[in-house]
Amino acid sequence: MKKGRFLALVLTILMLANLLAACSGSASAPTAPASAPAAAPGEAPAAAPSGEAIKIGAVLPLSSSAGVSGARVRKGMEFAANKINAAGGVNGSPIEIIFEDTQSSDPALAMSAVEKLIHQDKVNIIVGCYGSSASLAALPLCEENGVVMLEPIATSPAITSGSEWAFRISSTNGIDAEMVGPYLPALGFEQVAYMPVDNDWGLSVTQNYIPVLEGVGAKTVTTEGIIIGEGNYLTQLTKIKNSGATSVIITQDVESCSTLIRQMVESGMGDFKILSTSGNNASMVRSLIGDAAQGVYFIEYYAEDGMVGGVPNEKNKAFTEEWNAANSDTALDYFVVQGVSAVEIIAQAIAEAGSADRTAIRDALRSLEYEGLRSTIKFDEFGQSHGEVILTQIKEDNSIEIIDYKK
Amino acid sequence: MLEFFQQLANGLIIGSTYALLTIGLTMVFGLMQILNYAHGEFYMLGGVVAFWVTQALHLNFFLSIIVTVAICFMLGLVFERILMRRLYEVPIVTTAIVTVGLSIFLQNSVFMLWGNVPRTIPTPFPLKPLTIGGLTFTSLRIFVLIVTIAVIVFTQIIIHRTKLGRAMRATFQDKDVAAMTGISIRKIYALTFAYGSALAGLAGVLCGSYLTISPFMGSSVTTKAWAIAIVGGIGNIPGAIFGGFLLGVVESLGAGYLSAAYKDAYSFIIVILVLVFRPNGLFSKKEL
Repeated sequence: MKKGRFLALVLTILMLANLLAACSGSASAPTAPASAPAAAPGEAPAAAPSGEAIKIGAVLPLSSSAGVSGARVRKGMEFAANKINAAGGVNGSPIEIIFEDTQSSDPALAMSAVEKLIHQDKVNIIVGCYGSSASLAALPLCEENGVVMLEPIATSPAITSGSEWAFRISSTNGIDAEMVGPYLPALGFEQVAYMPVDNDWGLSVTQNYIPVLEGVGAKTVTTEGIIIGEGNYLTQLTKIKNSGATSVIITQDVESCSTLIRQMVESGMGDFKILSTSGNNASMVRSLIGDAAQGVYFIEYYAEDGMVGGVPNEKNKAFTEEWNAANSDTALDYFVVQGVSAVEIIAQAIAEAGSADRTAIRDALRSLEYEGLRSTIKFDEFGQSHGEVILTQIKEDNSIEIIDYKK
Repeated sequence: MLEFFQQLANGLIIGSTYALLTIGLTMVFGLMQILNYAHGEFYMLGGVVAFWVTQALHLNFFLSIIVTVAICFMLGLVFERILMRRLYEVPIVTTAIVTVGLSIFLQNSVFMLWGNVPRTIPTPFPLKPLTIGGLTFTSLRIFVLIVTIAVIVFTQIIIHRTKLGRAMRATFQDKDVAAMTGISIRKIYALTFAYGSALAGLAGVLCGSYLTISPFMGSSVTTKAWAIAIVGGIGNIPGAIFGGFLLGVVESLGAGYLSAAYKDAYSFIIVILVLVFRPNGLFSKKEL
């Protein structure tokens, strides 16, 4: 009897712990307007928003290794929502964000999250789903139900290729390849090996980069796919080392990309030219592997504070100070900026439409012009925006230099 | 030809950590009949504790290994005392469910306390590789291989040459008879679980020094360790060692000469073949 009771207790505790942990991941906690850290001290608080809450569903990877960057998008979204709510909301209504966790950007989890957000939470718009495969899987659900999916991160061109409900504030691998591709042979990318992750994201990189690079004379030596979450790449690297390639183009999340670069140095491939495509930023990789990341090129979309050769922007300067004062633990980077932009764009669209109706938001986004922390965001007929693309490199003194900057 | 030997060497180095991981798992099952799904979490804790020890206590890499293994051993004792001890007389399915719960609990506790930002354990080894006979290695990986083999040999000595090992083997063969001869079964169980946890923790530190550490790094490892345990024969330590090296080499050569996209599939093809042709594992006789 005693043992039975104890077991029941253990199981209950474990289940409760699990539940708690699940909540911390996919916290359905609305951003409380009351605890707005963004309200500038000394300013008279604006009238509290009183209308019916505007619900934004956010589908992001929050746990697992992709969750590191997903959590930064979340922070940016919360920051922007708190700021807007503290200033009186949008048309008198507060913004409420409902976050759902897709772990490692799992398409199946993204689909059930979108299903829940649309039917149970009755959100007005969805921000997500961060990963190309996840977004492509969930987009048909948004179309069926007439809800906009505003994509903050994913870069597969297929997402904005005809759906009237898809809008994207991130770049695509097609745009990146055309902007950066022609410069790569001169940087030493002539005999190229590709190491894409084994999903729609990785696939869209090889599909778009190979034609552009071959068009400017670079040779594709080999393509070695990488399974998500694999930690040991020596096998693939040994093959590449013996293939005649002298440069590698990597498409991986921060954790895998860092491990991969370090293992290249460890395998005696330190003289290879390395480019990381969409999905990473130099500062995060540098913080993880230090000196091993020297010389690596990154495709990025936001000139962070401290990068050498950045274009100064007065609005960014003020916002960077505001952000740093409120978030000492998270630097303002591309992922944060995308979260901030997504919420500000939605707020602007609803304010312009005068309604938070799902279709009204879509129509307002069509003609919207948003002055962002990056460049001005406007959507073309496919819902795609065209922001700047930056090519950075980690130098020998571990500083990050902007090699090229394209609008 | 050089590429073949390089892939073979890569496979042996990876295989040694696989073996280290599986020994603990297979010992705990063989002796205690516990299907430990939380084994990978002790591997994760090894990495996390070692990172913490190097950062908070400023210990060097070598000392941190020793401290971490000791802490994982203690954690093993604690979990044996508060959880496993209650489960010795209950059906094996119940223990499996509890260890699955423990695994989720540990993963998410670390996630909540520590976040999921990946980290690496700093080591004094240079990044630059050494070239020996045309093959490329880093001194860190050679160190890992040496430590792993030393610990495998040490484990075999404990089991076959010491009084404790004899008591373990007796418990393994027939715990009721062993208990009658005066062996404290509880003590053997506690030590076995703690030793298994310490080995997993050691694998975690070693791998965490050249891979990255995160709260979820254990789950894929548990699956792999089970695959190896099945190939070697569950509860068989020489089988676990052989299975670990075998899977490391098969993965490496399979990915090197066929396709890397199916790297994990090769291990499971071996598992299926073993289950079809030798359902009790390659080393079917149960032995420690």
